[in-house]
Amino acid sequence: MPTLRRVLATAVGVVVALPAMTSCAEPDFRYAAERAGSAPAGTVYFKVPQAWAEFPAAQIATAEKGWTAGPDAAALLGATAWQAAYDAAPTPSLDHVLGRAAPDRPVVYASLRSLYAEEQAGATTTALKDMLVPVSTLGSTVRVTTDAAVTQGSASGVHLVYTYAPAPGLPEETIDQTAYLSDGRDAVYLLVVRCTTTCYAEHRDEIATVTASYTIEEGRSG
Amino acid sequence: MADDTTPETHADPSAPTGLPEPEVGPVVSPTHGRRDNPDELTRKPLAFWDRIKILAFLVALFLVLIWAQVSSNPLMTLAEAEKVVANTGLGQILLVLVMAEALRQIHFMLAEHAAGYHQMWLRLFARQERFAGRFSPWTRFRVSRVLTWVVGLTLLSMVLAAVFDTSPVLALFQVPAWFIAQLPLILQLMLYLFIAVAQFAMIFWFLSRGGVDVYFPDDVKTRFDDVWGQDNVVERVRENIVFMENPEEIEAKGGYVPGGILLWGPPGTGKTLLAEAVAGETGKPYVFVDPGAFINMFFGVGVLKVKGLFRKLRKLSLRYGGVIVFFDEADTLGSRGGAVSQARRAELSRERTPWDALDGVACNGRYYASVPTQRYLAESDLAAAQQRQLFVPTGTNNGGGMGGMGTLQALLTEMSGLKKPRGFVNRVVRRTLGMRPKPPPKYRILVMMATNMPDALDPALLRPGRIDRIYRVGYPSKAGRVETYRNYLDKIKHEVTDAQIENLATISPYATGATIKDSVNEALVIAIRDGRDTVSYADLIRAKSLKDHGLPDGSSYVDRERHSVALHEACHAVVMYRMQHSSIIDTATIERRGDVGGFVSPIPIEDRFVEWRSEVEVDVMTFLASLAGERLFYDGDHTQGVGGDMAAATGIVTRSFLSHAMGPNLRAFNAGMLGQSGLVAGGVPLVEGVPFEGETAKAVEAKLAELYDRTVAVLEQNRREVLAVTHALETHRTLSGEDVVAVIEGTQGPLVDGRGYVEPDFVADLEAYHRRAVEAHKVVHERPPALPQLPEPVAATRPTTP
Repeated sequence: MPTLRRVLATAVGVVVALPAMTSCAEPDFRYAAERAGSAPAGTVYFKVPQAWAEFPAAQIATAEKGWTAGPDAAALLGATAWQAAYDAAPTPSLDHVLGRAAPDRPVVYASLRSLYAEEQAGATTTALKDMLVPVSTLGSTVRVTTDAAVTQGSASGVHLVYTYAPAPGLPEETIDQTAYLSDGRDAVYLLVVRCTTTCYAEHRDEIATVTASYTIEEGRSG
Repeated sequence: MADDTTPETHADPSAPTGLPEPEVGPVVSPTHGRRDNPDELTRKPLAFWDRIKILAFLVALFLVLIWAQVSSNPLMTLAEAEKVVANTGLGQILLVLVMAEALRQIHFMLAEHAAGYHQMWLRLFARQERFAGRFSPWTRFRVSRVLTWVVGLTLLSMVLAAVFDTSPVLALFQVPAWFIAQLPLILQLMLYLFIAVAQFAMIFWFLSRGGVDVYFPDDVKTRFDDVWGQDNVVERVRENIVFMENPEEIEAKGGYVPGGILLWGPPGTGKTLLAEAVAGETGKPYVFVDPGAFINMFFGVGVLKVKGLFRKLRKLSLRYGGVIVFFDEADTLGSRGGAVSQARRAELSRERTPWDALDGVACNGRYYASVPTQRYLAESDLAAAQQRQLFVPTGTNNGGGMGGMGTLQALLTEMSGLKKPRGFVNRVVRRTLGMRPKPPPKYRILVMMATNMPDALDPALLRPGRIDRIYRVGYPSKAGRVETYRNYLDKIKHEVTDAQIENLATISPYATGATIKDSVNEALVIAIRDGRDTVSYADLIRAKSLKDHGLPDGSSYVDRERHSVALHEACHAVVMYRMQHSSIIDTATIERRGDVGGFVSPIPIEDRFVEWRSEVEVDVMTFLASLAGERLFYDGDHTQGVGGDMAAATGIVTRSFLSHAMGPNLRAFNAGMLGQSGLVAGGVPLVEGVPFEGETAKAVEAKLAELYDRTVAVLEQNRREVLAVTHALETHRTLSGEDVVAVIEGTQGPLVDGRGYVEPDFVADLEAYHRRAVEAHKVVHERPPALPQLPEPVAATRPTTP
């Protein structure tokens, strides 16, 4: 066979063989992505390690309905355009994500929520910080280790890492919270990674990968 | 070849391979395509592109998926994307396919390089062929059908599993529930489809209605006794009715009831009336089909009409035990629309009257000749016939397809189609249960058709089984006419005697029932106009003349011309009366009717087809009478009005010399033999465009001269009669034949009293009047004399014979 053809045949063989050999492996990360639908126009991407379990959005919604009570909370849920949750525990459960007790393996919760008109006025950095826990008012019971203003594109927000004890008897908890306010001030992007303080120290690198990968692309429709 | 273990790779070139079956395709060589070198034992090497193309395609697809992943997620790297794709379902399928294709190509490469490997596979395939070949094609087909179903269901279940998000088996079972859940939507879609289709169906159904009238037994009051003058046809039709009433009578003896009758004949002879009488007599429903019902705009509407009609007929026949359907003007429906042009149709519909004998009918002496002679004579006859035709029949449809577009075919099928079983239960249910379907019951449908153009009907319609009986309903005989006149007159007040009715019948040889009824009505109108309510014979005569010849123009000649015209016609009339014995005078008139001036019209007493030579001479003399009379009475002068008469006389003599051997020679020709000659009106042939001259012309001239002298002699003998008739014509303008005879004989006629015309004094007055008229004719401005008045008849001494 002519030389050119030999070369081409070898190339094809390599291209065929390589994926065949490497594809036995699994990807390293799970990729979470939100595809914008109606309300806030923005797409969210982040990745979590492959081993962490994913919860389907329907399951989260059902659990949240059970967890919260009152019409205001229901309205709040209705405003949520997208949410995702991951759990690194060997036996994953949504209680780890949504429950009050800090889990001992990292859990991730991300959401994209649109703001009502009356809320938009009060959307300040302090409000972003206080989204989960009223950090600004709790004073010394909350120990803030990182408080940085972050921007991505036209969205701006705050990256907060803080430690606090939710109640006596419950272990201390470290929360890594990133919140963005959209350019039109009509949506809030939230990423929360939480677990016990010890666990946080153990899985610092993994958590850093997750928070570092958090990407928002405003104005891009999926 | 079941024990053959060696493959057919070494085909013996000298062994016959057998003829390939037709339409099987090119012969496949037993070495599986090694046409280049049949001795090679390895597989033929593939081209490079053929080897890698599938692989390349699959790899490209894989790369496309990777690219899709990368472009949709900014966090994705290539390696990660590749891993992600490889873990999705589609990616894994592609990888499997790539590996399979790689294996296949390796297999091919081995076969190309290792003979043993290749031969082993060939033996394996051959064994598989023999194994499969043991089963019959039917078995192989059934097995493959089962396998197809299994594979299809498996694929379907996998697809449904993805759709319903359950296991494949459960997904299959969920299909019915899903279908029922979707049923409202499906029914909605079907409703839309139904509406779309139903629009057309409704239009066609709507258009296919109408045109058919059903008369139930008591609706029709006509009976056979109301049909006059067609007794033999009535008898036959009556017989058909008996069969309809008692079909067992003929069926028990092994026959069948004739199902179709065709009545054909000239218009007005009573075909429709006869059909109505049938309806009235049988007590079965009578369905009248309007001839225009089957002229339709769209294709297929006519077919629907025919089918709907016969469905109705079957229903009626089952309910009432029989039904009669009547198609009037059946030629609109029954012609397949071929090469029948308008003129041909006109000719077809023209009744052959004895006057057509003038066209050269002769005794059919052909059979006495030898065959080639007969053929030659037939050809020249054809040429003659073609010259008579006005147009050559064209190939156009020309409206003959009025009932076309399948309507005729539907009619033919319905009239004698397969007696197929009908009905859903009958056909489908019985067959499913293993029973044979029931044949339909016997439908007693009598189909009657009427037309005046039987030649235009399709022969398929006229075959026995559809139309079993064809009856000609022609002009009534004299007895029939008498009966018709009497019956119609009996419906009104009249004072016509039987003898007069007979007279009437005699002088109207081609009267039909319709025309007789019309005449009687017209006579009644004339009577009413006169202020009477009783119809007299005179009214009938006037009505008949009106119908036959039309209304005169009302314009009259100036006095001097009136006299000459009256004289002209009087000469014709007198010669006709004195010389012609096979016909009588119908009317003599000097009134203008359009282009026609005065005329004297004869009526044949009896139907004959050929004339004797002496009768032909009398005919010629009748024509010559005008010239002879004018010259005789006007001192040698005559008018141009004799032109037509002379041309007719010349033509008759010429034709009788040329075609009937009535001249000095024996030879005779028909029109075809005279070559490319056209026949001028009057029958004078032109040979090559030139009026013939020579010997025949001289003979004709001599004959005419001889007959002229004889005519002059007759007129001289009947001078008084001529003048009398002239006077009568000038007075009354139109005379019936009987009145002319009365004037000539000096008797009382129906309208004119001719007794005064034999009074010697009045005869002298007539002579004097004529003399003065001749003198006035010579001097232009001389005032013409006044017409003398007929004196009152002397009643006592003369017997008044009517």
